[in-house]
Amino acid sequence: MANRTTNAKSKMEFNKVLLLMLILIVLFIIYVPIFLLILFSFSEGRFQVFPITGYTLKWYAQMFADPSFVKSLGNSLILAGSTSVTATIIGFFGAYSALRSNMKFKNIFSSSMLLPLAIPYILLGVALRIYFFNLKVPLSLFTVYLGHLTFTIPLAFLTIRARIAQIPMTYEEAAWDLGASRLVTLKEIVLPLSFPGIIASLLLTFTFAFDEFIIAYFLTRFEMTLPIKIWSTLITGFDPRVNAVGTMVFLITLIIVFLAQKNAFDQV
Amino acid sequence: MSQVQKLVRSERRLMIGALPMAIYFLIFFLFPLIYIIINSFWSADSTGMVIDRAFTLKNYQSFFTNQFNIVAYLRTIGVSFSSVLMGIVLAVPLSYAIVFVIPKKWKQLVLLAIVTPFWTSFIIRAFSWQLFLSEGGPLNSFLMKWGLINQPISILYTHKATIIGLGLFSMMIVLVNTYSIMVGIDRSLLEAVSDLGGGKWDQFVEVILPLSVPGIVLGSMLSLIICIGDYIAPTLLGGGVKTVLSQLMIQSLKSGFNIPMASTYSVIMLLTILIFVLPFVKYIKRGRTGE
Repeated sequence: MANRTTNAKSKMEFNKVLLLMLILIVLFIIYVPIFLLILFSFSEGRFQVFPITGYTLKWYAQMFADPSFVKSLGNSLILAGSTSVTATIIGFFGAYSALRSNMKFKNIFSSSMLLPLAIPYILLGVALRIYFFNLKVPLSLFTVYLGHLTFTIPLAFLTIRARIAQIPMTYEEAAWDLGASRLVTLKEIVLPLSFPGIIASLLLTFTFAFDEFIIAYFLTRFEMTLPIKIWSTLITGFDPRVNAVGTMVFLITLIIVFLAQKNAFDQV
Repeated sequence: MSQVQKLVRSERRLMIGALPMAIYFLIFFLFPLIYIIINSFWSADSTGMVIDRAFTLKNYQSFFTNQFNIVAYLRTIGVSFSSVLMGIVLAVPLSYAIVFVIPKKWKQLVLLAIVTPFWTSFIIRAFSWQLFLSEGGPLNSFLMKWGLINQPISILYTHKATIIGLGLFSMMIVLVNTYSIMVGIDRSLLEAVSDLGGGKWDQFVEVILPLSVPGIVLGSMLSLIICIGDYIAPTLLGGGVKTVLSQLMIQSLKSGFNIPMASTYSVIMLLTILIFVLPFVKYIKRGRTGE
């Protein structure tokens, strides 16, 4: 009997070790390629092979000396900034209305607003390109902005709605009892309390628009975004500067997403 | 009438707040989709510039009679399902391990460590996979050093690499959805299984897995949608020679110029997604209402 319990116990321990190993292997598989990218971005050699002979910052310097990289980086920053602000404002009002108004088809409204998140980006890119072509709208960064909004508005809506749903209705009712109008309540109660959700939404939609490739690829012609620039560099042949750009983009997004998730997990 | 009553009555006017969103949805989502559905029944001449607006099934006919297209289509389905399967197989034990095995204070950190990298540019990550999987890359040198293989194995530029890339992405999506359910499972249910003499495995099979089904299904559906539409992994990792549906779509618009045909590919992709996703919606809904 005693033997059987020890057996069962050691089997349990064995399963635990297996599961912990799975976590470690997954982390390893996720992080090793990224680590390689960062390592090679500082490698002196033109080709990405071991052993690494020396370390240098020249790929970073060359990247910033290339006007087309700098230009596309600037384009992407402007695009992502304006997309995130617009999407968050529209998403905030949408989320507040969807939760607090007594509109008839509340649930249908909420779920259909999320539909753009349920189709592949490429479908939206193709559909909008054909649509704009037919309406004779010239392709530019502005059409990319319009395309990104289709995805980021639902994303903002989802993030902010989750936050506002945590705010007890009684807070607002108390403010009304004290004579505040709905607009004042919105500004004094709802806005400050949903602030972490708004920040999370700004950061997530920014990241999305900054990194998004396929919609932008369909919706712009001459003005490049950074992902398109990286893509065309990768497709036309090998260029060690890609390691440097990649490392930079990776670290920027990592920081932003980390901050966003911290805000999203924060409780009221 | 009190102030509160007045405000409650004004709830109807609140709908104005949802208006910009609804209008945007109509103009930049619904209309373009309807427009490409209509376009798929039109036809273009050989230059692609003149479009005949008479109703025709020509594009669908040419899709389904062209063997090259059929192969590409089936390949898309095969690659997508393999990726999602890989995602589920990894994500379910992973989620169990994070929720039930590792110490409480590490849980959120481990989850964030796994999930966060997937938010960054997919192009950059696919490129880092190229570095990792290439013939002279660390994976091959590692395996050869340990005598596991004699010759470098070529994974890169085959769809095995595509499946690895998309499979890990699916893993992340299934993990997030399954984790949120597992973390909320009432521990007294697990104790009940133990009281009846069941072990950890019984707890998993009788309680945890059945309760996690809605999360696994939702995660799998979202992953499947991403895999079917992805263009980056099949091109950068799969090598782009063995064509998939997304590549056909791009070719029909970028190298050739045939709007009705590109629309047809899009509609076929949309229908494929609907066919695979709709039967599962009821499982996801059941999970949401907590039945």
